[in-house]
Amino acid sequence: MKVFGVLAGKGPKRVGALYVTCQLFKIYFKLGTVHLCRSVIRSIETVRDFEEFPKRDKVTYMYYTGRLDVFNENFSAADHKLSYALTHCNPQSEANIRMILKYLIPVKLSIGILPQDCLLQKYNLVEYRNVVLALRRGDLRLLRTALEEHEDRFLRSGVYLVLEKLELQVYQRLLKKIYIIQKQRDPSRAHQMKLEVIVRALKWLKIDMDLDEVECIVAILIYKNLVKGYFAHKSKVVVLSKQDPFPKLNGKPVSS
Amino acid sequence: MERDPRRRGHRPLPSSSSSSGRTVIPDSRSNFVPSRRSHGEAWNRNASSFHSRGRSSRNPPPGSANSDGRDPSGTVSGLEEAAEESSGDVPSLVGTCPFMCPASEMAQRERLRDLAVFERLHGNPKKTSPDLAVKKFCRTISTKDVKSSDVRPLSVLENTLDYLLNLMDSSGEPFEVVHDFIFDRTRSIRQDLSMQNIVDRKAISMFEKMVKFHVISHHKLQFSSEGTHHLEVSSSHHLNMEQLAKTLTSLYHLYELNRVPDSAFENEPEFRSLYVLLCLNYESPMKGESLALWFRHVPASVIRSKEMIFARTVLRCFRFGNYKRFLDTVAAEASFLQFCILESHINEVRALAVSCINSSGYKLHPFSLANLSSLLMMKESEAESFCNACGLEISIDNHGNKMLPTKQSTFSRPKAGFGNYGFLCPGRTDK
Repeated sequence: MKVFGVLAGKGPKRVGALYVTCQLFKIYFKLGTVHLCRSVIRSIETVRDFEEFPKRDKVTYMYYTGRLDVFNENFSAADHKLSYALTHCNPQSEANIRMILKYLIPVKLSIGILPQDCLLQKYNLVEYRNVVLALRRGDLRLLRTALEEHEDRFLRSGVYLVLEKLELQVYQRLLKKIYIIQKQRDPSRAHQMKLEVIVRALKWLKIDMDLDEVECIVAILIYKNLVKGYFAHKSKVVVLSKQDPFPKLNGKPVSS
Repeated sequence: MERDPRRRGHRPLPSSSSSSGRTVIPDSRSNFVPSRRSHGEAWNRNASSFHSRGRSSRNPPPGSANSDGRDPSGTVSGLEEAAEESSGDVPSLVGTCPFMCPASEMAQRERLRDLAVFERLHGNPKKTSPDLAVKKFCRTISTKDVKSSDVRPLSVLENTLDYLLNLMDSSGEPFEVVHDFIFDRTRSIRQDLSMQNIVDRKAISMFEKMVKFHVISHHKLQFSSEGTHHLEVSSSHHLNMEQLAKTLTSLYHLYELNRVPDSAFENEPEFRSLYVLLCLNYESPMKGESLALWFRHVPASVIRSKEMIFARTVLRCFRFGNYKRFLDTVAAEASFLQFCILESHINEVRALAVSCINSSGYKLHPFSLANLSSLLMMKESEAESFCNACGLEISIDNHGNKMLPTKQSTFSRPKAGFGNYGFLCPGRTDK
């Protein structure tokens, strides 16, 4: 901290400040005292010419602060910082890329962007494979088993809560799949979906849910703008909008 | 604010001003190297100094952290060495006060007529007795000036705590008065414990009792803030939450200190689950760590315990917005303590449900109030007034049934907070 105090002042030594900052982050993360990062960040944020610091320090800084944003569930900020780290880091250093992706992937997933399977393979991040697959398929059971299988790993790295939130998007995808099937059968009535059909789809996935809970989930999806339409309580039907019934997130987090 | 060595123990850069003990964090224990330097330096160099104090106490309490055979990694001998070394020059504080309140404080408070209702002998405001007076909480800068006759040893502290908690049910005074008294006196108990560095299993059990007190008080103070003492009560509600957060944090440190690898304490799952429940929304009273970080150092056996799975389900439903499952799960599985913490969130979730139904429902199909009230687990009459409090109107259909028309543009969350609504748990009689 003392070294940091000296370097953070004015003068030619200031370029070293970011290096010391990154070393402090490393220590704080190891010790589990990340709340101490805040005061250091504050003094870095007041620096006007951040771009003048050495590249490798900038990357490290963005990696750690991005992780902090993941922990605090600030997805837009985390996306920005970790993406910065990824684009500017040494493309030869696979270990570093992997470390960045480990946090960037959950962030991207939560704003609706899915990675290619080969990326997961290449950097040995196979623990995310089934999570991604569940999102593609709308397979709620797969999401739950994937989370359970790697629960320990996800909890230790601090991304568990982020991944758990993906459930909403999985429901959205499930409804979309049902909608597509209905459209193939009878295009004129595809926008009317019986809640009972959703209950049956879930039962097929071995997930037990009654009509009331499905209605609740549909209400939430509409409320959070993942589905456009309305539900009719009396007739137990959800009526989908004819235009863009399943809006994409397009890089924005689900509204809360 | 009381000085809590357990909190300070987590700072990686120790300041030399600390004169009371600091605690070990599990990581640093394995790196512990007995220091041969002078005491002052050793103090600053390793966070383990409290161990030396613990060991050097003349009467280590039975079953204390040191005697229960934990830490088989060979570091014990290292600690002993350090203990012997420092026992000479570190005065370790061992209380000798045999009463709930030191005699000098008793005399002084009699003179100043500073006696709580519970401390007055036959209601006399200037007379008390050793059976009634309990040591008040008082800030101290350093343990150096504290006389051992003013500090109570463990056994007296245990009895004092039990005496205080008994007042919860047996006193005829209004709860706010009882709370104020126990609030202050338990704080003093924690201070005495920390000054003597009592961190063993008995301390765990005492901290659990104190957490319980604050949790139940949270429940009792919550809705009593509508009467004449509105401001006073809501401030003690706030202070109570502050102490609850602190006591809970200390309790978790005690669990860590006494941990035998791969095990959990009997009540640990329930007390750990309270942290999750306190962090449901993002305005958590638990300052410092976000939940994502907190989960990283909870033992796996606790993570998978029944109590924690309940808390995690509730968390997931709350953040997801699954009001149906949230209310069902709380009704079916919450323990009394868990319910006390969750209570304030229940109306929040109900408001979300009403808001969702209002905005996502079909305009021509009003939602029947009977269905709504069973969904929200409240009486129909309460559901109606709840909707009204949210700015929504209730209508009556052709058959005389009460209905909530949807797509009303007037929904708003009650600004002055929610009132007191009951929570009906079908099939449960304990609440």
